[in-house]
Amino acid sequence: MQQVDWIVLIGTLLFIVSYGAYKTRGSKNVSDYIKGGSEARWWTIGLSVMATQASAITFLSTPGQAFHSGMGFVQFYFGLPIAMVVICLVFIPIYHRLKVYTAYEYLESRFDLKTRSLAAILFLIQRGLAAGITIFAPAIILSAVLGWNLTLLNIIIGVLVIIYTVSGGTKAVSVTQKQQMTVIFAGMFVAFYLIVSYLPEDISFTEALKIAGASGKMEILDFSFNFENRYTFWSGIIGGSFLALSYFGTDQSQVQRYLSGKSVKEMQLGLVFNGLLKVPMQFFILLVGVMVFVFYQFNSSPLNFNPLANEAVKKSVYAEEYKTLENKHAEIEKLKYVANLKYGNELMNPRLIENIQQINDLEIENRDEAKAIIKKANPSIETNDKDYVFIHFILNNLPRGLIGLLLAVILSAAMSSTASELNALASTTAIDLYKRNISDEKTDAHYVKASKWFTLIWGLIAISVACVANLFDNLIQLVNIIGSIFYGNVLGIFLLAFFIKYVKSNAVFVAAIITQGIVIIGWWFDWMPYLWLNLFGCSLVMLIAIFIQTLTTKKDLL
Amino acid sequence: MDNQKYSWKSEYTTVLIANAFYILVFYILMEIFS
Repeated sequence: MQQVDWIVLIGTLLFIVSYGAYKTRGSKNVSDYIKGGSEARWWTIGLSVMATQASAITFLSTPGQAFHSGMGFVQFYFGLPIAMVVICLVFIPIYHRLKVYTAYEYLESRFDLKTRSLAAILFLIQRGLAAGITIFAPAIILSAVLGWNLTLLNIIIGVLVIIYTVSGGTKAVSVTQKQQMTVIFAGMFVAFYLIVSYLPEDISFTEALKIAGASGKMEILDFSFNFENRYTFWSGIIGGSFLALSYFGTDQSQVQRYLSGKSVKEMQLGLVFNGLLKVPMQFFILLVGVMVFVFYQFNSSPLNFNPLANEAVKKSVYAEEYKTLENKHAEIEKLKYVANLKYGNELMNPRLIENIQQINDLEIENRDEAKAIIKKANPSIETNDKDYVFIHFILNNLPRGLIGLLLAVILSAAMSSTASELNALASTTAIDLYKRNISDEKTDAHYVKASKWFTLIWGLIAISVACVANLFDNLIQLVNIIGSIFYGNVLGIFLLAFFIKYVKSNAVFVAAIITQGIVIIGWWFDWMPYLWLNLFGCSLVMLIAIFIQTLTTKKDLL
Repeated sequence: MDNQKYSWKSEYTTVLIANAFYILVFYILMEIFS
């Protein structure tokens, strides 16, 4: 990092934080603080929804995912537009008519207070942990590649977000997210342009795509019904719709974004905007990763992109063994360069494709052997290096100033997601728990003050989770598991509320408690891969609630 | 469900058609470059 990178990075972040805090200071009432005064226009809502979902990991991991596995990950987002339409059609009109501040408030009007409080508490547990991981995940990667202090980085990201989120609430989150998305888009477009310009002179963009295709990176769609493949057209359409519906429809960190809209129409257009742009945006980020892949067909790359993994193995007794693999890797890179250059100039030659694929197989085998050695040298180190590919490219190839801009992209993404999470956690705590259950006859100013305190407290909790996250193996996976354990149940409660009028409050509350117990047992005894717990929990709570309601109704009739 | 009718808007059709179009473009790209 040069001085100019530091100036760009610090300047960008400080400008966004101070502008956000200054522009939105002094909220007078709860509506201002939690719903941003209900003034947001559709483009603000759309950008805010996109910025909330796109965390730093989106920009670090997704290009790495494309580098290793190609463009197929885009299929994961195919269900999102369907969910957007369902939310516009069903969820938004009801939330707006009831003038709710949080999604869980609706559950009280449809069922009762205990169901509302249960859903709110499940959200707080899951999102409270996730907020810590949103800070920790990019911090661990940046600290590894840049040598920055991990704890200090966690604290800096957390404190910057706390400053403007506490000060301006929802409006500050929206205002800063517009600027963060501008920085993110600008950074990614510049990175894409530079990667393509770094390719050898006689390799055009079209030829680069052909080269990527020869290595199987352009297999975008998979119409098979193979459950072993995580990303297929069908899992994207069906599973993706289901996941997006629960995330955008019932998770307060997203619901709060569109509840800040000026009217139902603005809220709906905001989600339509997201439904139109999300798939192309993810496609573009994956395409950046594919271009990084093509770049490394003509330029040397490390055997493993995680610098800590390389360092660990080189200090161990396996250093010599690893050196042999590195030499082999260098030989493979020479073969790769010649084969791809030849293919770029002589497209459609099937023999050349076969040759490239053989070299790729050799490379994958060699990288896998390297990972095995790294694991032997240090079993606790992360050998899956997909999160490190793009940042390695940025730090080693981009010109001065742009490294600072791309780091600002990554930190802006981390901050925009964290801000929405803290804002939603504070709103849910203030409205669903504090105001409704503990203190419901105070002035508006009192609740604004309470919401600010809750934002600060959740911010400190998120920083604490981020700081201890490194002590646990696979904490990110643990948070995903916790999400899967609770998400399905909460979505099931909402679907019952919206669509099954027949089911009443006691049936749904008992069903939710039983379901939560069964899902936890199912996870404990490993009944299914944890991602399927979402669907399992949702179906189970709906079936049990309908069953209990039927029994109760029959009993009443007798 | 709260005795209200769903009101379909042309924007929803646009979202669904646009995404079907994206998928068609992805299919064509895959056919050309794979």
